Amino acid sequence: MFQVRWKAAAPKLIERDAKALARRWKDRPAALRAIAEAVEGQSLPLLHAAPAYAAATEPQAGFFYLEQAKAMADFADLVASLAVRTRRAAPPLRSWTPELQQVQDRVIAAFQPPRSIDQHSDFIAINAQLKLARELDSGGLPAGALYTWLDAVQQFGTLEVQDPDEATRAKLGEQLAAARAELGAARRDDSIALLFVQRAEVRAGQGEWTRVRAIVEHVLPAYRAAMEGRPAGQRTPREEVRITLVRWPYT
Amino acid sequence: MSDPASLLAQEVALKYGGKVAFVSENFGASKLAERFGVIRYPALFVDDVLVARPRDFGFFAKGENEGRYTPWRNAESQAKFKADLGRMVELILAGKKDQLRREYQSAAADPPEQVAALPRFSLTDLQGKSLTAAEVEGRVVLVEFWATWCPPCRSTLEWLSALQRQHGDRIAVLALAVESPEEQVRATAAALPDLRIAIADAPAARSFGDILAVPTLFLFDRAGKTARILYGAPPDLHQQMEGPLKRVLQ
Repeated sequence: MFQVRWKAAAPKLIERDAKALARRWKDRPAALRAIAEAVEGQSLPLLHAAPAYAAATEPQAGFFYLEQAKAMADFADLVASLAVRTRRAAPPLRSWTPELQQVQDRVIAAFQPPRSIDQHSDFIAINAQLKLARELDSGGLPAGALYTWLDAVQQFGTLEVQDPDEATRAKLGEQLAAARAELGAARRDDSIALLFVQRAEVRAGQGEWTRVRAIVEHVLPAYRAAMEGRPAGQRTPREEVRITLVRWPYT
Repeated sequence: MSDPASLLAQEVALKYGGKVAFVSENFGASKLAERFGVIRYPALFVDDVLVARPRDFGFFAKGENEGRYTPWRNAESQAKFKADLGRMVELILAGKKDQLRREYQSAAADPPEQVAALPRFSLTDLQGKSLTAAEVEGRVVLVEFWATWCPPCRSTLEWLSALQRQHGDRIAVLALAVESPEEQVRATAAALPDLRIAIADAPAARSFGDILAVPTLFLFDRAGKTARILYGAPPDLHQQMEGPLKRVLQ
């Protein structure tokens, strides 16, 4: 039954994915494109993993991931269909490989005992986001890759920063207001960064100041630097040995 | 759990300044995993040598702490994983990939769940005839677990069919399909008339231990004792099985 359902669904999802990759985003907010791409990019990996998961565990698990693949495509379509326009200039989208590698290197360096044990699940979440960002980046989905990379920066930043004292909280509040004003007035479409400003505002209201601090001190500077240009120091691999990990896509 | 393995493997790779690349491939879309018949994750390869399977991390094992790197959420286990991986890389950089292959194929062939002798299974073949362990007693027995969706299995089935023709009654080759639709099993069987093919039910498959990969090939001598087990489809599978087969046939 699972195989029958999967075979019926697969060609449709593959066709939808091809159409999604060809979407035109002219005059559409970068934030919409970023969310749609980040979600769409997970649809086919989940589709292809579903039969393997059904075989390794039980058919119900395969159905779960097949339906998740469909849900990802549906949500991406919904986001892309929203009638929102912008007159601002599109952000300079490109490959974010250097930035991704920089964060990945920092995460690898930080994953040492006791943090590798005590914060095991946090690192799992961060690394899964970085992996997704790399897949989106190499798959020609740069807005989704940028958004997902910044999300990983936020998650890692939350592990790195201290809980701010009252004076620092007040200062963070001011910085957040200034960021909103700056980004809101920019000629460039900075709606991806504004998504994180919104997140920080919500977190501030909930008293989660380490998350606010991570966004203000890590995410927004990373976004600004990424908009200014490509960092130097890309690796030129001289590969002699390859280590391959075959893994579940997103955990 | 894949992500800690990913982070630790990347840390090892980084130490070699670009000589060692790390890649992650998605379950269900990995050609390397398909080639080796890996049906559970995570699996770790160094070049084309399968060096770690789920049970090494405590997954799909009989006990959570039976693997080489278990308990996985433990500093010592993770340090051992990094040390082992570093040593594997060093072997390849020193031109000793064959040594690595021997060590890890040997390890894979000798898991704790290995069956010591031909299990007392009882099945019905595709012709509706009874197929039991008692029926093949006194002969050299080759049992392959395979699946219709596994491309390397097709080649091993053809090779086994040729072996059956070559050795006649001296050997019994049993091809037991798992996780495959019956109509597809029958379609494959139609092209392989020399093979006894059956669909393995769960109790029969379990009686052979942990079938973590397809193909999984068992060789039993005339006394029914396990002579060799090969997991997956490494490029030299036929050569690896020919020596032990020759010995048990003598």
